Amino acid sequence: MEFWIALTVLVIVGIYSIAIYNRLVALKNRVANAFAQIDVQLQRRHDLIPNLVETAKAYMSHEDAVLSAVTQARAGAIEARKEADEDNIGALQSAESALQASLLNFNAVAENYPELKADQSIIELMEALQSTENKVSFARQAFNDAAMRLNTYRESFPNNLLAGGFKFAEAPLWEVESQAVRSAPKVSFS
Amino acid sequence: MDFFEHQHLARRKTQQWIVLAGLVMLGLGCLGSLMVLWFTQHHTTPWALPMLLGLVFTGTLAGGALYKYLRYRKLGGGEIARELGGQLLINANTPEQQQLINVVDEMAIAAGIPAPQVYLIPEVGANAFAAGVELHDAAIGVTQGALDHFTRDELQGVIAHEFAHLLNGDARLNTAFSGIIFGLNSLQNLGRACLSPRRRHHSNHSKGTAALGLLGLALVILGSLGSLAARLIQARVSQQREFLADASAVQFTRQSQGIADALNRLRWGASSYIEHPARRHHRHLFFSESD
Repeated sequence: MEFWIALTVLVIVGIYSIAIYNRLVALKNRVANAFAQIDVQLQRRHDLIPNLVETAKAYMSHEDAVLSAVTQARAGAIEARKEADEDNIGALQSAESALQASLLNFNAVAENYPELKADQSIIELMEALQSTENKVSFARQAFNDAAMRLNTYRESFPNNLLAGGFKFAEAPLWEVESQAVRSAPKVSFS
Repeated sequence: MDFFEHQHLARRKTQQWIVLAGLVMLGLGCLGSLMVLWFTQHHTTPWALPMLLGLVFTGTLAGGALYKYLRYRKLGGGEIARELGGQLLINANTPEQQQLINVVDEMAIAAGIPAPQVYLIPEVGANAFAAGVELHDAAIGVTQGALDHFTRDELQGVIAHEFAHLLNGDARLNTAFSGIIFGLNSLQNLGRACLSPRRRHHSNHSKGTAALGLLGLALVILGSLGSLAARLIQARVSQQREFLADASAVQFTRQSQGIADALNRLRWGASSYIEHPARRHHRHLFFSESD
């Protein structure tokens, strides 16, 4: 009799565990998918920047520092993107922040070059970059939502017993960029 | 409440409105019967004639509505955009068009649904709408005036508002209304056709002409009532849903300035008038007053 009770309990616990495990896998895959969405947009952004720099060179030859900062930040971001995956976004996050900051700096400096701002291909590139930037940030919201859902699930009881055993790590959130990016660029009227 | 609950509510509301519209159509049919009975009471007509005509009236109303609705369902929301003179926008010819395509793509990511078709409506007024029975063949229509007047942020707010309509199921509801309103307006169109001088000239028999004229008159009177019902329905549908869509737009874009600026721009000057005559079927769809 005791044997049967024990067996029944064991079976129930087993089925319950399988359900939890499968749910964890599904949530984890959703996080990975959301990260892939960000990744696509980041790649697009990295592809656009060389065009921007090349076109801008013709107008702002005296601003080498600004342009090479953008180029360097892009190279850093490309490196970081190669290493990154959904569990490991720290380096990519700061590299992208740096890239974003350099682009904002570029925008601020470009204000001083009306001809540059009027150039048709620059206008198109700026629009493409802005759109990509928006897509990155919307994809990031989706990523954070998915990560939050996984984290909440894996920390709840009794899921946490299983999540720990099967090494479901806490998904990192993609924080909004550093203060440099949040603050509006300074525009000088001198 | 999340989007799924709103979709569910919208669906139930759609059903309620369809029942109501059916009752209105039945009422108009009965009224038509009575009118025919009254017109013909001095003659010896079989009693079945007024009944039959009443059925024909109701059938025209309901048939017109059903025909349109099924057409929209088959052809997607783009059909409404085309009725309003819209052109499908695939490859941008101007920076503004590119911006519109980009903004729609961005919002598709933010809302997590496939990007709808984009139609450019050649109108000077700044306006926009979303239509479609199913999400996968929905369409967003944007006027040239909207591209001319709105800044990028404002356009983003407006497009986000239209995406909210798609997600909430409002677009489905509104597309069904477009069908119903077409049906309610159809009797009037038929009546006008009967009364048109061209037709009267054609059949020169005085008795037939008189009967046709009477029928036309009855149709026009009924049609006017139908159109009035359509206007009342259009005016009644939307207010609450617009507020909800504005709130959802802010949720998508994470900034309230865009939609607020767009609304202010429309309030303080920019026209949202739609010239195309088909607007009378689709008034309830528009972001801002179309007439």
